[in-house]
Amino acid sequence: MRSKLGKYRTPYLFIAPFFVLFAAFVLSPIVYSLWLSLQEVVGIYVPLQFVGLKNYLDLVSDPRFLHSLVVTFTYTFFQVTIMVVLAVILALILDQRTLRGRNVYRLVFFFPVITSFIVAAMVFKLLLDKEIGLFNMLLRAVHMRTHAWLEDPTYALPSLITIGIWRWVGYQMVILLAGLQNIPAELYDSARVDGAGSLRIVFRITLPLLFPVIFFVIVMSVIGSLQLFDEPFILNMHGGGAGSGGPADSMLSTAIYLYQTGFLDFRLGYASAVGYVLTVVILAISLLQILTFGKRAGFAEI
Amino acid sequence: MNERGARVFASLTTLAFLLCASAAFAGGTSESTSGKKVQLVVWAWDKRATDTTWAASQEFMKLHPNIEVQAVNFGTQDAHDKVLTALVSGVGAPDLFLMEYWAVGRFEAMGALADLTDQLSDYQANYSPAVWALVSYKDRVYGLPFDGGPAAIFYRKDIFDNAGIPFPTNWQDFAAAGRKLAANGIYILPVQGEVATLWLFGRHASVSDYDGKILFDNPQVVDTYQWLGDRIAKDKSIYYKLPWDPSSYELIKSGKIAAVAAGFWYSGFGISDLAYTPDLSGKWRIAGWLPWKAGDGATGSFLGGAGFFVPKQSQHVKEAAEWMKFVLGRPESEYDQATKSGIFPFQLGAMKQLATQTPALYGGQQIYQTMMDELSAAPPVIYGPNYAPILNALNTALDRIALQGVPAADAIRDAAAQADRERVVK
Repeated sequence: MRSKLGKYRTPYLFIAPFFVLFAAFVLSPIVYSLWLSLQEVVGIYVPLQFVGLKNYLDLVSDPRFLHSLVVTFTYTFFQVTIMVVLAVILALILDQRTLRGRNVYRLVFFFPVITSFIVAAMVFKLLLDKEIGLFNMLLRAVHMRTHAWLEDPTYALPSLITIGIWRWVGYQMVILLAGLQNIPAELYDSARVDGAGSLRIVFRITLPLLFPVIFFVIVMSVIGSLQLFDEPFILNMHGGGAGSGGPADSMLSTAIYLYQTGFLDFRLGYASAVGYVLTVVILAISLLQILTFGKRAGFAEI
Repeated sequence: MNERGARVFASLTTLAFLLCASAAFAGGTSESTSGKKVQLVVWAWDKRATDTTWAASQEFMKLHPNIEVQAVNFGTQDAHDKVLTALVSGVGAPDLFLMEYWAVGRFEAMGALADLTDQLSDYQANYSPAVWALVSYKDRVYGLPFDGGPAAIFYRKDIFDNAGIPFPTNWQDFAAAGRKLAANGIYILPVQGEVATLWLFGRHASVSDYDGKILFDNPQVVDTYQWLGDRIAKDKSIYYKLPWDPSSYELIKSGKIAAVAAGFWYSGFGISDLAYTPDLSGKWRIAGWLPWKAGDGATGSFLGGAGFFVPKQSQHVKEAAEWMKFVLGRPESEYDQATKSGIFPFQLGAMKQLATQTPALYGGQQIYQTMMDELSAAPPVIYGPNYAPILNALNTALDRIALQGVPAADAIRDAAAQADRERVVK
């Protein structure tokens, strides 16, 4: 063992910075917050008070935490479903070699990913404003009912979902495009020779062969969406106060609730428990997805 | 590269990473490496507002050559989060930090603030009692005011004149004026959650006591929130949720908003931003907070505003207090702040100096005199240690009343239960 370590000392040293930083800034906070979730944190100079599983048990009967789970799941379900369908359609269209200017389109759809969301949120607030917003102006022009898209609890979450789709659809599209390029051209050629139409090719060749990539995109998007934080945080930063859950808590994602309990209410032990429950939920859902569809998507080894 | 060279390179890289990491940990250390100079690290936000503070810091350093002031600017929320993280972790806190008044109670309850009663209590006479209450807690003094939010109603005189409505003198008349303006497609006022508390404090309603007990489940609060909800939903005279960001100026510029209720700090915003619309200059006026109904005595209210405070873990509490006395405690420095950055002066001396000033944006009105009159009638506000969950619950209550038609009595009762469940200081 020792001689082996001696032999590989140099490579280990080269990769050491990552592990040192990982341990200091990722692993230790993870372990510490688990410890913290079993404590009640009252003050800075007051010793932590061990309360066992009390924080976790309190969560079960906390109506706002349960509500935050409903908001998070609703957001994730609609945002991921619509976004993935759109991303697949966009990828299929932009993969057409005959499409003129397709690189320009790819760039345009990718723009939201590299745009600072602070800037984008400001633009969306103006677009969706109930008085001077472009969206309501268009609706007024065609004599349709206007709404307070970001202030009305009924429309706030759908607006948030739309913004989430706008922000991430380009990113997923690029991943899917890369997947499309890996499908051998001969398959398409032979299908055409056999007389298959375009739609038939898409459903019988492209989508089945793209499934591993689509599955990857779904799993990663679900993980990302369950951690929903930036969008509601920034959109409500100046309206209901930073970290607010939006109108009547309609945008209260679990991560926002975690922020409220930790950074606004100062209940750091409870916030850690919220964080751990969210982590377990994400792990469970990811595992469920992999167990259900993983084999078909080439995750057979798991 | 031979293996020995590679090993040395790898070791050095690791070392460099570790040094960077430890430097990051030590971000808030306050001992200078050069000589025996004391470094005072000051955290604040909003560069525009703090420019004058940093200029005063330069003067301060000339008088105290052994002290070096290091000024750091963040966004408001960033500053709060960073202060909390530094205080809880026990390392990296600054020596002074700007903090909104509502948070004094929660930091005090956590035992995080240095008690400056001995150093600063002589300054009490310079401020009105309601203002002094903002920087003190349970009779202990923790800081000095920086900018402040005595409530003010910024209104467009031209809009009221065109509609033939004299500016109202109480909130019931204001509601009637709002209905008239609404008929012309103009909102009399925007309101968002936090702003609603202005009406509570204006009616002397407490939301909490010093020990964190929730007090807002009472008929006065229910009545106030129902009144606001009715103006929003029934009269459609109040624009609900105008954010404090540049998108709000578009709406204000469009002439669809007749007035803005805020803390006086909004005039700092106004001087810097609203004045960019030259045709609006001179059209604004300021009114102090209105009594609830005809026959009620004069009153005042507060919204927002921030002071400088010292964390208990600072190694230089004495020097930090000296900085406060010089930068914030002198009427001259407040006078500078007011004239250069539009920040409301809180010291009676500075206010008197400014009383005759007539900023062009407000058409020759003596706005500081208006605010002085209000401050003399303003009741002290107790935010308590649980203000964050209280405000959050009240905001949700107003959403439910105004947007979902829930009766105020039910919404406020639920909000009180929520705040009670979520409060950290029991």
